[in-house]
Amino acid sequence: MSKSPVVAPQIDEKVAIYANNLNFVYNPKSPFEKHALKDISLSINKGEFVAIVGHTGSGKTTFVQHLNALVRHQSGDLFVAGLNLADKKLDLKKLRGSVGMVFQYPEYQLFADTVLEDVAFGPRNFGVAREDAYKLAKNALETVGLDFEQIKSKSPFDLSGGEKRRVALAGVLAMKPQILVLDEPTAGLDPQGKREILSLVKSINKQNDITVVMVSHDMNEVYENADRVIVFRDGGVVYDLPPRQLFKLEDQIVSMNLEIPQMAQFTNALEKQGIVLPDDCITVDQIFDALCQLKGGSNV
Amino acid sequence: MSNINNQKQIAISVQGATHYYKVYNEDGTVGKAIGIEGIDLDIYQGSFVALVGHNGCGKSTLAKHLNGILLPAMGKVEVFGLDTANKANIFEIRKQVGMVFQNPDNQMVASIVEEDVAFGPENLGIPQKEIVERVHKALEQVGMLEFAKRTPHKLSGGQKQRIAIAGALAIQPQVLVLDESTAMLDPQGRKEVLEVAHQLNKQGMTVVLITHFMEEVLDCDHVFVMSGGHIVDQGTPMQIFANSKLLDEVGLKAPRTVELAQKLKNAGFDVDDTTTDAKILGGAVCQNLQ
Repeated sequence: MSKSPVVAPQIDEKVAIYANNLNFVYNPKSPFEKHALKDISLSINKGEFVAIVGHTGSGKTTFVQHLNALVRHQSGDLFVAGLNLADKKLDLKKLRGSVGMVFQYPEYQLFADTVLEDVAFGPRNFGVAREDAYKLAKNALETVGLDFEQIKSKSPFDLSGGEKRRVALAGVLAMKPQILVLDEPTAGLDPQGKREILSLVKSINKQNDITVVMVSHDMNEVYENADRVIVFRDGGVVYDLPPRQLFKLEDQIVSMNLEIPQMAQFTNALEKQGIVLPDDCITVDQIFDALCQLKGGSNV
Repeated sequence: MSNINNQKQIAISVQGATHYYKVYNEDGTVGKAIGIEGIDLDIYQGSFVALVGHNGCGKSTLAKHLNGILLPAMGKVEVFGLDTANKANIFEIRKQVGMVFQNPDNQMVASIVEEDVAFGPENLGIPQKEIVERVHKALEQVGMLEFAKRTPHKLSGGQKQRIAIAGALAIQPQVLVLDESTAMLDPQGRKEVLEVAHQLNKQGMTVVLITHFMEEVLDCDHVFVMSGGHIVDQGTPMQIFANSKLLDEVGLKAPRTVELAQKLKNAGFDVDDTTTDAKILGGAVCQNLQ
């Protein structure tokens, strides 16, 4: 492989995130030195929904923290939202306005007296006038499915867990990011709350054309939502595949201490017996419909 | 401990327990919200029961009644025949019912694992020699003996929760309540904690698991489904999963494999609708199609 030039010419308009031989070392040249990212090369297109998975300590959080320069670039190429993160004079403000970061348990980061103030904080902090920030907040709260008039004056601390998480998500969306990075957005939610947040993220991805990078431990939700799955292990990328293809590699996935989604186990078992379902059969309902068709066909 | 006569003995009995929370309305008045209302249930000694429900359904409120952290405004909770409302009983009740909460980081009190585990028995005024024995045994039971001299802060979430369980075990309770103790863990950590819980149960411990991961209740003896502060359904895990309409109404969902098996069975496939193994279900479906 040839070493890539400083300004990677292969980055075209369609690319949202591009990394080439990205490396990162915590506490370099000390007894606590840890090589957290090793030669990461990957590319994520605008509008894609990409899941990043891997065992705890595999480097996935270090990688996503690079995306808005919470962790500063050390070596290799990294371009995010058209900005070169290796650039010494990187416009951090522009970068952080383009990359919205939703951390784990984001509801713990709510702080303002009212929901409106909390959601408008981001744009206000970026110098947007108060009235315009309120408009952005209103839009964002409506995007996450909350009734603006009903919720705007409430204290964020009086809301339910699911509502709080939506408000936190709205706070990030109010910045109008091009890229949304979510670290385990459904952790701690009940099944209904999980479904709501995921369908919300999915619709933000599809309708508002925002690129989504989601870190998750829940392989069932990764399987049903992501266009592509990137698997981290010991600081490196070991797989970069669409979910259906990835979870056919059962032995390899299990050896990395990751789970196989239940419906992938099911379709894999069918395939071993020679029954191959179409590639778009992912959810319980899709698989059920396909099987009914197959059965109907064999009975005729 | 785990002989058959004891199996039927009631460890905890909840009779019509009701608890309200204060709500401060916007107009300055004080109202009340239902925490739990009219809960009746018996937990038998040696059993492994699950309390499931969506966020805010009252399951943690109920859990806090099981060792007298909260007291019922109406009704009664008895732990081995001791009424939690009687202040004189609380000390004994807390010794019988150990509790582990959700966030592992909030439950560590010492900077060395073995000191953390020793905190409970130290508070009970147990002689030093016995504390050492208890700590040793408790750490052994959760498979963390080799970490005795380490600092808890550097451990994984699953390991921290196992330390928290060891802390409860050092008090030598008969009942262990896990109040969403797996909710903040990664899949590996969840597996570790559940394995420990089941192992303790096999040794005679009564376990009450509070969760909203339906996959976790598969191996329980009995499941209570809660919604709006009430128990809306109960039975074996399979009986619960069979009532998918109710589960849907209360914001829960059967594991995907069970859901698919039920749909296939209803559509005339010859499959076992109580199977929880996707591979076995796949094999059965193949025989239907070939």
